[in-house]
Amino acid sequence: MAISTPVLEEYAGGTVAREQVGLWRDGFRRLRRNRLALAALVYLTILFVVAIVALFWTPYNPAAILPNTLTFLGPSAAHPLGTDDLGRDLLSRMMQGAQISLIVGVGTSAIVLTVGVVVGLIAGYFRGWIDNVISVFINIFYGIPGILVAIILYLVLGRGLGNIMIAISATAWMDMARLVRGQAFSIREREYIEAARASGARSGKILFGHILPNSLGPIIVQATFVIPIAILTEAFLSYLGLGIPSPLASWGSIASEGYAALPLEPYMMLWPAVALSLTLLAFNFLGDGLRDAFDPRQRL
Amino acid sequence: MTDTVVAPAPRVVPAVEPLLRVVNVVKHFGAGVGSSVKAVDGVSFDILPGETVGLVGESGCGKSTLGRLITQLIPVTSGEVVLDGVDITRLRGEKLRQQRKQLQMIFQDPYASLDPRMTVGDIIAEPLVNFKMISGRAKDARVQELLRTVGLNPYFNNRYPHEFSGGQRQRIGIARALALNPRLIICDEPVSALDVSIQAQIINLLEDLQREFTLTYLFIAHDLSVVRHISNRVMVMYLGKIVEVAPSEDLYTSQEHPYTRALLSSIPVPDPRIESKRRLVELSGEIPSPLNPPSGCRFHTRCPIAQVPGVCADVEPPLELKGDGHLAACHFSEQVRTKIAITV
Repeated sequence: MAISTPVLEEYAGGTVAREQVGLWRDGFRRLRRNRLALAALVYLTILFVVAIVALFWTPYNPAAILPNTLTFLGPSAAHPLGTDDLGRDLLSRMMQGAQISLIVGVGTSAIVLTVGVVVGLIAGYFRGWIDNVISVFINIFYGIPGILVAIILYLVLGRGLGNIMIAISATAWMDMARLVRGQAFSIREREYIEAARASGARSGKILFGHILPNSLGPIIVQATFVIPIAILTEAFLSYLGLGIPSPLASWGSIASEGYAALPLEPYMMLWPAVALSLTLLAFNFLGDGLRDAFDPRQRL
Repeated sequence: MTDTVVAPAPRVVPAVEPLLRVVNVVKHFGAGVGSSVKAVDGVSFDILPGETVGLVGESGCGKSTLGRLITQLIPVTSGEVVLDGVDITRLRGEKLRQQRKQLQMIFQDPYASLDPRMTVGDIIAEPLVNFKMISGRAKDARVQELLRTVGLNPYFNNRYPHEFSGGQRQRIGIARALALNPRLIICDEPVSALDVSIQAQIINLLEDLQREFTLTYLFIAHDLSVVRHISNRVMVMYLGKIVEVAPSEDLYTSQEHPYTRALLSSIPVPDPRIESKRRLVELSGEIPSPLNPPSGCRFHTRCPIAQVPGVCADVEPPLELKGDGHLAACHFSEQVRTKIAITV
């Protein structure tokens, strides 16, 4: 090509591709400096490992009423966390509870992410009547407590791990949809969206190829905050006796049984309370850290 | 407006089918009940294949809106945009999308018009991917070829836009516009956001590319100096209407509309001896609101030779032929050069 414009000196930055400082690298660098978020990350990693180990191995069968074992045992070498009201090993039950909590937390977050992002993108990008319908629907549900909707829906759907996630997602997706709608609303007006349309991009490409990647920071933060809410709601439902069907152990159901036994044996209540508190704190610290790292403008 | 004027198509070389024919295009933006912003109010012109037409006017005159109407990024209120014999204002969906292959756009702001989350290679390849023209290794080769064509290092394809300077980014935008081998490129103030030293580079590049790929340009700018060298013809727009059209050199030597004369007088001359003899035609006041444009000639509120009260305030002047291929919309165009002095 006989183009007279040469590669000028100003491009002399070298031909070797430089290290990319993109959203991720930059975000994680800032996250690493946040001690609290880092500690939370370490704790959650351990928790995930425990939950995965519990899939294959627990010290005892968490559902089995062990022969020759006393009920309401305190911590001992054989049973580090003691035994419960039926003589089941509490450590094994707590490990299974961690599994349930994380499945519910991450699973709900995944449902919320999928539904909220799709609905939010459609409302924010197409606007008009479709946005009005979605917004009115969300605003109506904002007036009703989410926990009430979750309880009623769960009773209607019937018991089960999947149904618990659906019941919690039923209201939790709305916050995500609102957030994504707002993002789509502002990003659709950027010039690069116009440029994409001019170069023949269809709506789907604009939504998922341009608007979504550019609003990923706040979406990740929101998805992280959904996890502790879901864990807490599941524990609350199980505490009420509505949650995970017995003999599966959930931190909520262990706490419920422990509350009944509080005068006899305080440990049974203590373990799930401590585990829940630490986990909720850790997810919240991580969420805060991610928000500061990926979405510095939203810092409060 | 009741008396919208359909201009006869001005042609430099007669008897060639125009590539783009804009016929009486109107764009009104709703602004509350019963009122609308008349951003583009009855504009007609032709662009011949291989031609560069400059479009000049101050901020808010509707020139960028006109560019977006031609590319159908926003729909017209009325009128036709005929590209190569097809009225694209009547096309919807997939048919309109297919027409975009012929018609690309270079945007004003090189910082805002590139997706910050995409690599330069992906940005340039996007039009190719959208039309499934090419993929895999052939696509990479095409991207590198395009980067080389616009004077960038072809191995920069995996970098992100924020790693480039304004001029380099505009080159990326140009490469994207070239990817589909379009026939017409709308350049929407492609150098307004750049340093003066970079402006010349980009304009030279656009000229080289035009020769290389037989491109046709509509070149939008807000001052006459930028479009002078690149354009075959220049159109001057004021408040949603075209007030003067002339072959480029003709417009710079003789103006038939007082607004054009005022715009021309505002260009500084880099020769101090000439500069000291220059006189600035000062226009009084701001550009009027397009919500409620002045009656008669829209320029009469700021015109140094307007007869108010009189014909200028009452009758809208039609865009008529004043010379060879030279059109202007002024009742007193013969007085423009005698009554408005731009040299001492």
